[in-house]
Amino acid sequence: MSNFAENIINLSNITKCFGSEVALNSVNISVKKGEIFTVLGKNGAGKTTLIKIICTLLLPDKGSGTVLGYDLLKEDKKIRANVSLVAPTVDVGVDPVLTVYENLMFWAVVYGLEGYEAEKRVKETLKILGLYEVRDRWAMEISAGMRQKLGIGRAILVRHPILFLDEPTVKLDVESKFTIRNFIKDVRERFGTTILLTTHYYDEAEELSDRIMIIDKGNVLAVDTLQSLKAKLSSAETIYIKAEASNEQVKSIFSMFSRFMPQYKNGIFIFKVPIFTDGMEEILKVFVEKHINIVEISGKSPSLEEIFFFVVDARYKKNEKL
Amino acid sequence: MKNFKIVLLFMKLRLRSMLLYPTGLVLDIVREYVNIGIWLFVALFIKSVSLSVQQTFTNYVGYVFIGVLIFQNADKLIKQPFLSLSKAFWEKRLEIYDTSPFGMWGLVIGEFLFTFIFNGLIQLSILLLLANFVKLPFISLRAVLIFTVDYLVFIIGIFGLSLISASTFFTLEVKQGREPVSWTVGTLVRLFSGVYYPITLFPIYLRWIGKVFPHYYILRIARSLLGLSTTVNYGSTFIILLTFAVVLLILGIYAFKKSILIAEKRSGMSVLV
Repeated sequence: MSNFAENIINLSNITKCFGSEVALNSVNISVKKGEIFTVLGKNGAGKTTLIKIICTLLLPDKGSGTVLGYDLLKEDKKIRANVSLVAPTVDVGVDPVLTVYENLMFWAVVYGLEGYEAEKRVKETLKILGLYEVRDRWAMEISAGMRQKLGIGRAILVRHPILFLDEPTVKLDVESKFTIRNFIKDVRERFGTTILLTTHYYDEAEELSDRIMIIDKGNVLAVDTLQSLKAKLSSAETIYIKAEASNEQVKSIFSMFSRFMPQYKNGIFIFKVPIFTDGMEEILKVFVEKHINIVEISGKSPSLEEIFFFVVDARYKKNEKL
Repeated sequence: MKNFKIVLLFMKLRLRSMLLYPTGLVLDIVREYVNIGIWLFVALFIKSVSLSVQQTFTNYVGYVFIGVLIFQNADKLIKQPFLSLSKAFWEKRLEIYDTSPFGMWGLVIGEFLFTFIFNGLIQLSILLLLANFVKLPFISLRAVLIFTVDYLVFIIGIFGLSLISASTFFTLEVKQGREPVSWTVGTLVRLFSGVYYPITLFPIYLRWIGKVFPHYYILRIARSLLGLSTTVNYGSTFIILLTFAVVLLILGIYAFKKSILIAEKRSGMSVLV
């Protein structure tokens, strides 16, 4: 989906403190309808607190806004009736005394579906989740990945327009993570659901997000698409130069380009060169002057993880949002 | 209707849990019987050693039997919503229930009703089994109906008290064990509301304590219908019970709703923030 319509979440100046600890500090957030918006941050950054405030499970100390056009503070019941939340722990909301089918039926009724409509929706959801074949098994007999899907299934049962996924793949193995991430994309494509996702996995954010918000210690440090974040920030590219060089030549290169954090491993020079600078040209010029035979050159644009650390580091050096 | 179905759902969940782990079910039943049995034993003992009791009461064992039956049921019901919240909290389900507009209420009401029915059935079985042993007389259908209506009104008041008790989960951050409301009510009712002995044993300036709880009035009605104590004016006693029911229900709903708001302010719904 490339063209997002209006903002479905619009909050401004959201502040929350727990005692003397500031969990969120004047956070502004706008999420467009139909997008996958990721809140990326380390543990304790304020991601879950932000999600809970938007879901109206937690009241902010300051700030205001709207979710689906409803006032965050005055119409919390209406917001809650139109959003779904999947908690970070697998098995939350999964009842061990019910089968897979019964678990979804339970939530179908709790969320207001009735009779035939509830049964139809549950069966549809089980098929979408790929859990139809295990519908009569006890919920604790299926794998953790399947149970996490069941948790997400609970959330998509009533087709709420907004889905909050709070660390949806934490504690899952690699295969389950892969399954869940594909499933999340499928949910958005199939239902046009707006998805607000929190994660501390950089690859997850890179893979799923239309836009990313980087948050650290309650402060928003950056909000944009991944491509814009890479283009906007003075981050570094990693340059790999495979070359035949003597020990003296290696020492000389290291000495001349120490600012590019050089490494030399298995015949390959590795440099961290800031983008939008002449660093690369400078290095190649010196290699030619010193008659170092270059076999191969390649590069890697900054990963989200590198951008994240760059942004956090810049924040505490310059104390400004990028 | 939708909300009623949610309540039923929580009741079915409790029943399923009980049936899947029948040892727990059996233990619950045995515990009820043993608790009543202990008090019967105590009553029999007191009656046999105390001339004063023999002279004062036509049927002291029956008197205590009815007191313990009603008190134990009420005590269990007052604690139930708090226990339901505590269990859901530690199982990290509370916030998920709160995402549904009626989820929390469904949990609290559903489990309260389940306990009322389940415990009520056990108590009824004890009553029928031991009625002869404690020499309770047969009563007319009219008396049964009077008592049933009064008892249901009493239970509404108990539900209100149970909501006040449950509200301490968030307002006082009591997350497990015995919370102060049910403990205070249980202790004062046991001592002063006529569960084991009439309040006339106390000096006049202490008798009012028992009368501030609805237990006192339902006990009087029950014993009066069974001829175990002096006759009461059923009309006026019913009005008092109804007043208790209305006031406690209103207070309970207010306290519970307020406590949820406090929890949402403090993030008291989750084990971890």
